[in-house]
Amino acid sequence: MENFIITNTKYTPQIELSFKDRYLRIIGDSYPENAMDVYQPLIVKLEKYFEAPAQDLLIEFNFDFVSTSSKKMLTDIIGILQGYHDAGHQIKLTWFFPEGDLDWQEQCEMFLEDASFNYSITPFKD
Amino acid sequence: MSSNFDVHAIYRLMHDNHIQFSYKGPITQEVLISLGDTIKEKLHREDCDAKVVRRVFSVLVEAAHNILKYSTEKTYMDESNKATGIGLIGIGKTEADLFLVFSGNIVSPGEAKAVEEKLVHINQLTRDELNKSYQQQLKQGTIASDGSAGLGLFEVARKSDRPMEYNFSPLEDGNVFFELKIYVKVED
Repeated sequence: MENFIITNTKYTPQIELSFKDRYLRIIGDSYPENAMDVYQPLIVKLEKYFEAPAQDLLIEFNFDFVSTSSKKMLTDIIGILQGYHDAGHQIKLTWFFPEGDLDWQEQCEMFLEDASFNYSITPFKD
Repeated sequence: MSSNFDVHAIYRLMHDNHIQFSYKGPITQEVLISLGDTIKEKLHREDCDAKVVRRVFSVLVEAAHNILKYSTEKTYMDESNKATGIGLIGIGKTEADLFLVFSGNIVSPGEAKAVEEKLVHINQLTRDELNKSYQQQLKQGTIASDGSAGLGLFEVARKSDRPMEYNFSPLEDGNVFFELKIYVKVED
C-alpha cells in the first residue's frame, strides 16, 4: 500500500500515514471551512490500514491553531482509533501541545478523556 | 467625480475606538489567512502571550466562519461557484487589557432567532457548565455536510472573558443585522 500524504497549506495540516513504517503524523494549523474535506479521506485510509489483524500504529499530533470544525473531526478520529484499539490493534499516540498553553493542555485532556489506548500529552517547545 | 463618501469619518471612527483593523467584504478562506497572519505577526511583535494570540485568532476564525456560512448577503467567488458570505470583521483594543474582536453581517430572521437563543443560553452558563456543554457537543454532536459542528459560539465563549455582547437590528427588507462583540483578556 502506498503511503498516504496530504501536503499542508496555510490552513490545513500535513497529514502522513505510512503503511510501511506504521506511523500517522498530523502537524500544523487546521482551520478549513469544512474539516470533513480534510479528514474524511484519512478516515477512509485508516480503515484500509486496520484491515489486517493486530496492526500497530504510532501516532503523532502536533497542532498550533485548530478551529471547532477540525476539533469535531479530531474527536471523531479519536473515537475511531479507540474502536481499533478495542478490536485488538496497538495504538500509541503522542499529542504535542505548545508548551505553557493551558488551553491546549486542557483541550488535549478533553479529547483523550475516554481513550484507553496508550497516549501521552506532551509539551512542545517551539 | 465627487461623492459624499467620507473616508476621514471611517478613519476617525476606527482611530477613536482603537480599532486595529477591520475588513468588510466576502469572508473567503484567503481573507481569513491574511487576517490571521496579520494578527499573529502584530500580536507577537507586541510580545503578546502565544496563548492569547491563539485565543484572539480562535474567536476571529469562528466569527468569520459564521459569516461565511450564515450571512444572507453572498457572492460567488470563483469557478467553484460556491457562495461566500459577506460581512464585517475586525479587531481592536478598546481598553488597555482587552482585545475586542467584532463581526457584523446580515442574517435571516429565522437565523437571528436561532443565534440569539444560543447566545442567551451560552451567556448564562457558568464556566464549568460551558465546558461541559462544549465537551458534550464535541463528543455527541454531529458534523453537518457544510462542516458546521455547532461548536463555534461555545468556543468563542470559552476563549473570551465577559459575556458575549450582541445586537440584532431589524432591516427594512425583513432581514436582521447581527453584530457580535467579544473581548479577550490581554493577560490571563
